[in-house]
Amino acid sequence: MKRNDLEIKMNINGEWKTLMVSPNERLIDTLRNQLSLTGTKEGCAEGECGACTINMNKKAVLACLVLSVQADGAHILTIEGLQNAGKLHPIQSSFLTEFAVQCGYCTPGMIMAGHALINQNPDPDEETVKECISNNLCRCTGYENPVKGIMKSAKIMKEKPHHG
Amino acid sequence: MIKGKLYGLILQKGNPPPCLKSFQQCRGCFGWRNMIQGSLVHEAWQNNPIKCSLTGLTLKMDRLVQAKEKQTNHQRSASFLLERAPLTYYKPQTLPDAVKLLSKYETDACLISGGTDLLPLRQSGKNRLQTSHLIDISALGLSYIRKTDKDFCVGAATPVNDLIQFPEFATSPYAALIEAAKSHSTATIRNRATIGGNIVNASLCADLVPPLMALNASLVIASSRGERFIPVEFFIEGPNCSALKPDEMLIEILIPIETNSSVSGFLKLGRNQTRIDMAVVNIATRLFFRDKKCIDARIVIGAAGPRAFRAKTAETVIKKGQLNEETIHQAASAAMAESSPIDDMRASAAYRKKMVAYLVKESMNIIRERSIA
Repeated sequence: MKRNDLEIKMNINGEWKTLMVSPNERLIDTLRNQLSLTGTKEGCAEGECGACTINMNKKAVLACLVLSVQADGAHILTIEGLQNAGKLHPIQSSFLTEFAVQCGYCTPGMIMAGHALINQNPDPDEETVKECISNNLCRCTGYENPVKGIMKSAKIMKEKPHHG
Repeated sequence: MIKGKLYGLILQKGNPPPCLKSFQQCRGCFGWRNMIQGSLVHEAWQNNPIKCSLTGLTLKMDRLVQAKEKQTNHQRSASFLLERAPLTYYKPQTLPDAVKLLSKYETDACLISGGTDLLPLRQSGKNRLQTSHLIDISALGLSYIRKTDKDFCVGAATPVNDLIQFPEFATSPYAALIEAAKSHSTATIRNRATIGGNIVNASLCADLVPPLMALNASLVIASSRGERFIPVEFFIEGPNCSALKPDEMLIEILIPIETNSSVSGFLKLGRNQTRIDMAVVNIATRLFFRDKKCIDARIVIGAAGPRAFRAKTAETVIKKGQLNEETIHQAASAAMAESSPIDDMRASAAYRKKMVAYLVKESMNIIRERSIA
């Protein structure tokens, strides 16, 4: 522990955790290094690629642009927190069925951005979905299938709201 | 852009590492920074080449990085930099506390709210934001939009997305503000990015500054000496330079409630590949009408000079004449003459000048349509 370290409390994927973090530490480093939640990826580290998108207090934010100390008291949801007892969340399974994953590096970010959108707007149109993943850079899958995946999961979740 | 930065890194280092010779083929799914960082730092990577199954590229460093200092050099651009400077973090709970801290540390302190501009800037080193004290203003309750008799009061730490969702801004005179907010970066970043941050950064291409100038907004600035008011128009003095003194902070933006009938609009020209990019030129216009005649005009142009400015000659042209093809054309050339853009990585000065004229024309046409509707 270093001199300046601070104690923070975060609800991560439904569980309150107390952590010691350096004031310089970004949320993505805390998630990946301290909590071993490596599903959240780091791409550009300056908010351009969206690979590190997570949900913070139900909103999509970039974990590389938030200091861990700023997330004190926040509810954090990462890609690991979506599954329920080994069962995939509808948005994860629709990404699979719509072939929205190729190399997979941008996928956690896309899914978390989509998840926040569906929370806020259960019935999004295609334009809204495109706007929602406009911060997520993909270099291999393309954007068609992720958009289809998010639309499909919104439909599934509307039919079975308690799913996941 | 990431690829541009990679070129920069290679130039800095002299010979490109062999593994990076074919980097143009890689689609970058792994993240360039991670690749370079990994190959420089981890010995395992240097000894065991990693093959990307998607692109068939092999990542390997033949020459082990000779000098330790190269590592540190590189680390400067990576997240390690955040660890470098010792930093004290404060989260004051009340405004007087925040102001007290600010007057104690002045230039060695930096305010943080959303952090979407600040954190990348801090990482890139070499700038005024490399302070050793960070004051988080998110607990001060500065995130609100309230309506009083005369103004809409917007807290400095209000996320840009909240502006978009505020129903009363959807009405006619405030259209420019909403359109600017919507073209500000991307939906994800706007969840954190704040209106105050966009202003105090004093970037010459800030998207929210032209509409606020067109709407006659003023700023409430707090310090240990009390509060003062300043119009947005006089707040920004030059590129990244504002009228804010080291011990002062922006707490509120006042947007006057307009009684005269006016119509406004905002246009942003950006590069198309990525929505996130800053404006090449942006423009906010607002025309006042009485009996269907234009009586006053405000044309604010951003990113085409050392700061967002009002094209006053163009305004006079519009004010005096009928709003028709001819006056619009005249106003466009006047605005073009008034602008003084620079060449940079986004566009050349000559292109920007032409685009100023185009955007003035385009936005006048939009406003003409809106005023009829």
